[in-house]
Amino acid sequence: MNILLNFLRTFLCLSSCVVGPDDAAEPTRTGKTKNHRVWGKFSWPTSFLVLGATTLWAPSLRAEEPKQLNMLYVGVESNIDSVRDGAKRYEEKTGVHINIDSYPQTEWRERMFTEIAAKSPHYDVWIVDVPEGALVANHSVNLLDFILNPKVVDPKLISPETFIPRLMVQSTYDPKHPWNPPMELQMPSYTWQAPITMETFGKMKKDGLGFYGIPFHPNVLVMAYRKDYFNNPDYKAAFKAKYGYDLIPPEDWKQFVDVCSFFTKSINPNSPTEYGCTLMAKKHESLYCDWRTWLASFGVFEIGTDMVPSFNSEKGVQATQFYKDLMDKYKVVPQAAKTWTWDEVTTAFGSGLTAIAMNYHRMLLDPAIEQKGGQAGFAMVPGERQADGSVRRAPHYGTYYLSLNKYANHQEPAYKFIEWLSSPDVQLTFAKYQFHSSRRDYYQDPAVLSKWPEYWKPFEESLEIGNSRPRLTVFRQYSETIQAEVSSALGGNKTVKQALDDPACEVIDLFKQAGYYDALHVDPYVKQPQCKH
Amino acid sequence: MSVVTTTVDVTRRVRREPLEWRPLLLSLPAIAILLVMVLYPTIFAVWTALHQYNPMLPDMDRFIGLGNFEHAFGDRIFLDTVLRTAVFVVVAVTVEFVLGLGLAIVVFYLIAHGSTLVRLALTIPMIMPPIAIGLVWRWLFDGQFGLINYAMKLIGLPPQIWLGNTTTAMGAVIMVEVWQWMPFVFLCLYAGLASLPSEPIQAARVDGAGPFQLLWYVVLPMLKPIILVVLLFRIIDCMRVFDIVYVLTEGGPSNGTVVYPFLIYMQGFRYFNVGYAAALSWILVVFVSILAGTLIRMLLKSSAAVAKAGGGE
Repeated sequence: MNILLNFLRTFLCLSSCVVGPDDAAEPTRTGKTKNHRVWGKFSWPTSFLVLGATTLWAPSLRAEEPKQLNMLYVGVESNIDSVRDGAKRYEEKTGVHINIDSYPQTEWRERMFTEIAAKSPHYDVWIVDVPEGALVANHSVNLLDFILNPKVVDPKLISPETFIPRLMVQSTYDPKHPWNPPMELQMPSYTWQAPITMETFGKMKKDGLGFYGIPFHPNVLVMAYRKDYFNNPDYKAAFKAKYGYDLIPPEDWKQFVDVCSFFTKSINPNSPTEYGCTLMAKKHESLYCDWRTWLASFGVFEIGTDMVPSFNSEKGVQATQFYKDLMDKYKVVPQAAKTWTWDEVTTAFGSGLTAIAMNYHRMLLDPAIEQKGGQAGFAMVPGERQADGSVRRAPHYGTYYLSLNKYANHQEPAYKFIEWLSSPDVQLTFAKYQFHSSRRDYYQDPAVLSKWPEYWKPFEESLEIGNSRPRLTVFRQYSETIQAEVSSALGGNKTVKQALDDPACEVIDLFKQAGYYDALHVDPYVKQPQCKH
Repeated sequence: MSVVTTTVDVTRRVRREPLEWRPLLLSLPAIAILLVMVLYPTIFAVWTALHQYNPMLPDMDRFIGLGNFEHAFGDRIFLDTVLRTAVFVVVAVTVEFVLGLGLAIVVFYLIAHGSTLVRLALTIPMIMPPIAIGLVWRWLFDGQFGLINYAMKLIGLPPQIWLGNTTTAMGAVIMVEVWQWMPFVFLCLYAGLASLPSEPIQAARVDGAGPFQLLWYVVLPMLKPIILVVLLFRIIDCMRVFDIVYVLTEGGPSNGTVVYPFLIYMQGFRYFNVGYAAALSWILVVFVSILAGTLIRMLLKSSAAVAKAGGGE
């Protein structure tokens, strides 16, 4: 098929070369154009021979020197401004034009999967969000083929040691079973723990793993708080008098409840805010991400390496119950949060409704509030205090990574482009766009830190310890199953225990249909006997 | 014998006429477009409905016959969604019809001046993009910042989390649907009232019929064909509601506002279970066809009855 297309393209190209604008316009005495005479001199078989030879030769030529690369990108969510800037500079440097098609998240997904379904070679580069990773892996190029090729790779550009280690595992999959193991921390530890070096890639190859994208734009849950209130001497004194310790951004869940109660007007009439904190608890991906932050901080892995769900364990029930209690028992979160996603949480915090909120970007206060002295501070999200006094935090995170289309023709030039675009020096130049970098160095750079010193520190620290979504080919169904059931529990339609037991069985059915248990020879009902029909 | 002779003559005449290719050639592009745009997708939809087909997982693609349909009828989410959609359609269409008819009667018979203004004002919701409507109403229904709760607080009523509870969320979706499409019912019935012949109404008045008798025994029977057309449009339209649900609730809370087209969307475009989504679509097509056929038959019968009663054609 590709040969045929190449043939047609070359044919059209040659036609346009032969039919020059001057020739075509000049009629002859017989009424035919000069072009017809030119064609008349060639016999058709000779033409086809020439065309055939050119066609066979053309792909290799194009693979080396494309004039343009096509890129599919997500708009606002992964900072399109920085990529447009980078693409422009890459064209100045190499002469290769980068054509970027940018869509909002939902449309980007639909577009990418339409392209994949058609095995279209149109896009050379596409950005992938982690939840889609397992589904896209086998349609993407295994970058190890380039990274381990000394003639192609530029170690200074790829610079593996500067990556935040956990981001590297996000695009690392077993090509035979991209969905197993489901959680990134179940992968071999060398894929997500420092030091990540060029040898790490060699080890991946040896172990039969594939590396399907270069981590590019991560997001992680960070807590924002009203710094002006936390620094207010009157509030500090009142808090200490009531709870017996200093008013600081909460580190564990107990402190979180205390601080949120202190800033909730119905509990403390002197509170400057209506509510202490807020959540994103609408039946939406945001609820799933919130829920799993709580769950992981209680030490629960959602799914085992045998693909059997474990979120309905005792600890899982405790974590979910605590999440619900913040709204219904402690009443430190507005009930309206059950209809909110990340957008409304931004509004709630920005408008001064709450003293604390968590989100995946730097939230700002309304200018009117800032003019009155309002200030936002940032810290890592709290976690569960352990017996040894440490805190187990597990903020939800994910990263977009730059990946190459397996069906495209310009794979090597496309690799060179993403290697350059994601390189430490180039990422540093994106600081002016408030780019979220995948490199550690970025967050140490004085120029970057001078912009948002308080935000980048907890952001980078959170990325270092974050926990990411399961890597499933049926991820969206899995996530929506959880969303619907947890939403039922929050709405009081089910008990928390029931709302976790039911989806555990639904998830087993889902994984069964997806062929996971057959492939691993696992009987899921041994661990979840109540799900056996 | 003569009959046979005539037949032979006609056949001969037809054979003698040269075949006219030009009309056929001219209509070929249209036929080709029709084949590409309608026939091929229809055949493909049948093919996918009979397969376990996920374009992302080509290795799992296989023929499963009626397996997708079997799976649907055994699936709790499918059955709940069918029931929920039925409730949505019945409640929304009933409310739209009652309000639309009431308003049409009031405006047609009781408002002598200014009916044009009312008609114009009522057209506005219909011409607004559904996405914009969804976004505006989502803000209005917001439990913390919404105007509805603000108004309720002003009159001393407790605020509600409209979109956070399965019952009120479905009520909210129905309300927005009614707000947008009740004017369509109103306009159609208003036009119907304006087109009714005045003689039967005057005759009923002369015979001493009161306003309610007039409405029940004269106006509504004459309006029946228009009512059926309106119901046909509204029922089919409500059965394919998607945009309002997508923007307002995304099917939540729980799965409390997942209606049938939203389920197809989720299966097809979020999960890429294209085979299953195609099967769900065929179930909807068959059901709507039966429903529409029944309503059209009723419509033809009532039109004939009205024509007969009026002594018309």
